[in-house]
Amino acid sequence: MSSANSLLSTPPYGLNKRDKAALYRLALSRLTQKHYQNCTEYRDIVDGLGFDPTVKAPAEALPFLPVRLFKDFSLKSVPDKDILKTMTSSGTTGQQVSKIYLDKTTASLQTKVLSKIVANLIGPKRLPMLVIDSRATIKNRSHFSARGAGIIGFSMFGRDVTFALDANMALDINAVENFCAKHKGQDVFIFGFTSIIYQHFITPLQESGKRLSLDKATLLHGGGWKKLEDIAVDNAHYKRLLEDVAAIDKVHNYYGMVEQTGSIFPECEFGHLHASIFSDVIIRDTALKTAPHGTKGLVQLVSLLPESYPGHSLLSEDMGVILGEDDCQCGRAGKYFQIFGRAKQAEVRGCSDTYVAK
Amino acid sequence: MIRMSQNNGINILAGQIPETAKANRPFSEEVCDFFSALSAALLRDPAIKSEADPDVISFAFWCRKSQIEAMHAIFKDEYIRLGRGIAFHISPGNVPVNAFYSFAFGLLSGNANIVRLASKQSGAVDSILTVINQLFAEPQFSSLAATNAFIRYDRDNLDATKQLSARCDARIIWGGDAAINDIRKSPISPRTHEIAFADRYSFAVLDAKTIAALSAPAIERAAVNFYNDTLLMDQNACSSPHLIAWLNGEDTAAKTRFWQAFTVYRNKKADLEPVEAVDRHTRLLSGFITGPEQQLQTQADDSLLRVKLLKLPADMDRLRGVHGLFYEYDIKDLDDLAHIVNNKYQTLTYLGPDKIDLADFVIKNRLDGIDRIVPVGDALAINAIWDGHAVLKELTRILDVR
Repeated sequence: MSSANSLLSTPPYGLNKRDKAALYRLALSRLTQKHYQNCTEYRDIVDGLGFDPTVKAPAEALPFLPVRLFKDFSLKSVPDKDILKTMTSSGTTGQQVSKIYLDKTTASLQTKVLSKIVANLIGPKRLPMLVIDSRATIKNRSHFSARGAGIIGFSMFGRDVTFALDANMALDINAVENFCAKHKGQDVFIFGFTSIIYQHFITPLQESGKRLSLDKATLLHGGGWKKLEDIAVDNAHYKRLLEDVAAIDKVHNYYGMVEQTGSIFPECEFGHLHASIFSDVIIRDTALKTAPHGTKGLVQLVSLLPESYPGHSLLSEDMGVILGEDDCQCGRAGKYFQIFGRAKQAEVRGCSDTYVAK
Repeated sequence: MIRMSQNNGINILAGQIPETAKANRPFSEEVCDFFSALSAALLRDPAIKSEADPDVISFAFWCRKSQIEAMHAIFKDEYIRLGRGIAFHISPGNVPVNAFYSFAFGLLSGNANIVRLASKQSGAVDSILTVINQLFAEPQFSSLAATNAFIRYDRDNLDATKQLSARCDARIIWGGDAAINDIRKSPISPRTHEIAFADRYSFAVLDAKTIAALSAPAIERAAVNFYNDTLLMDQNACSSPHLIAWLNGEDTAAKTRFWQAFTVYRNKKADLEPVEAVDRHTRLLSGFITGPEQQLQTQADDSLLRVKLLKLPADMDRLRGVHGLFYEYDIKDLDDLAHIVNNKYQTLTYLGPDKIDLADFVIKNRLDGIDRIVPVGDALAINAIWDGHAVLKELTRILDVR
């Protein structure tokens, strides 16, 4: 049985540093060996690095795969017949998409873990839910985009799920106002992607001058700040805007990637992103050595969920800093951190074939 | 006749697009004076620092008077030569400064030039362009200003490429294979001569015995030279070695000595950018998957990554290092390399072996590739013979008088 499964009855932020490290040595070693035995590409990597997969190494010592490898290779540790669905994400590095292969075990773990993490924010009961997106995004169920998968994944924690945008991504103000009226005075859950909420919810509300009163709502949003950085909207400004246009004061960003769906890192009441018991974060310097807490560097993500693909230890292209461990004012144990967005693209030099034909 | 103006999407950054071109004698006084003036102005320019702009400084030295004279001396032969007319240069996206070398070849050989610069902004290109604009404004160079242009236009502006290609008498394409194929969709006239500098692969042959015997200053110099061949251009230049073939490689102490000297020098230079660190790690891991059996000789988080190959596959040229990732393989003699060389191979840099033996290796094995055999340190030294072409001569026509 997977280690993540056995943790499902533990509170999602209930492991301190020492206990987590001990547990992760065993859990990660099992995953490393499983992928080593079942994924040839992963085996080539582990052998090339000279890493002994049988060693119960700490998370910091494990091989980590740059997420781009999931674009260049089909990495899976289960036979094709066991693949339940394939998730894709384009990312921004190029034309190729990441392909993440999920079997039943992994897909089910993702749902269970996500539900534990979300319940920690909105409570265990399903709440009326407003999705700031269009229903059209979730049409094709066998081949998920990261956005579609996100919406479906999070919709499980809601009832009376209402989509705020029409098929053309325009704000369906009637639907939203009906939702507000119907659930007036009740706790509600709002979900959407950071840039879509800004562009298709905040902006049209600002323009129309309409003000919604969603003061009992908890809003969870993720997907990255790239587009908002370009127009200089940061997290604090974003929260202020949501308060202004819709009276939403409980706004939680989350960090996560399609390569490790489920074990997301939500923001606490104090504005810090948190690693749950199902995942961990490590910061590395430009030599890829582990960096101490408080030092900005590349973000490595560790998750106990990936059983069907070797994605339990990944190197992202994001920059972040660990703010502390086990001592956030919100009371959650584990590391808490901040993300600065994608590492800056360096000027390319050389004359190899980097030209991209149109 | 081509009428070019801003409204077809072409942005002229210096000079004027020539409408017609009169064939000039190569190495005309005016042109030689222009390069002397350009070199002097660049070397004097207080805005250009040798540390910050090694590309600009290298170019300034490359086109100084004595160098131009030396090129002229090599160029001279028994034929009367004239420029071909208008040379259209499509410069590389990733070594932007090569545009000026290409321009120099075109101008020195007696052509009018249209140089399309890469769209990517580059400080080195801007510095040199500023000085060229200043020189073009001087009366002495007014006729050069009227017949030479530096331009930029969007990659998807096919009309511009079509018009310029249809009109030019020589087309020089720098770029990856995809870029070259793309440009070739725009036809040139039947008489037009084309030189394509395609994507190439390069390697080094180092003799461990030679390295063991080097004096302390000599090993330092070798390390600096190797750094300049490789990391100066992040190992992305066509002539930068990716594979190091070791002669007498059982002398691991000598190898360590070489790499230590390299690391000492390298660590004085700027650190990797985070993105570069990710790129390098991705390249390393991809190589484990796609390449032959191999072992990382260093830690994955060392500033230098040495990968020892246990076999040398025929498609070795697919395995490329970047940002301080190198592939190494021990050879008994040069012939161990013959099976990997194909027409993608450009430069063999060497330290130790005799260059005559290296040339013999290419000739004897009748290899399709290897166009340059140069000592370590000269990998990037561009000259009138480049990529197997006598570039200056190819940009002229011969007037045969009997």
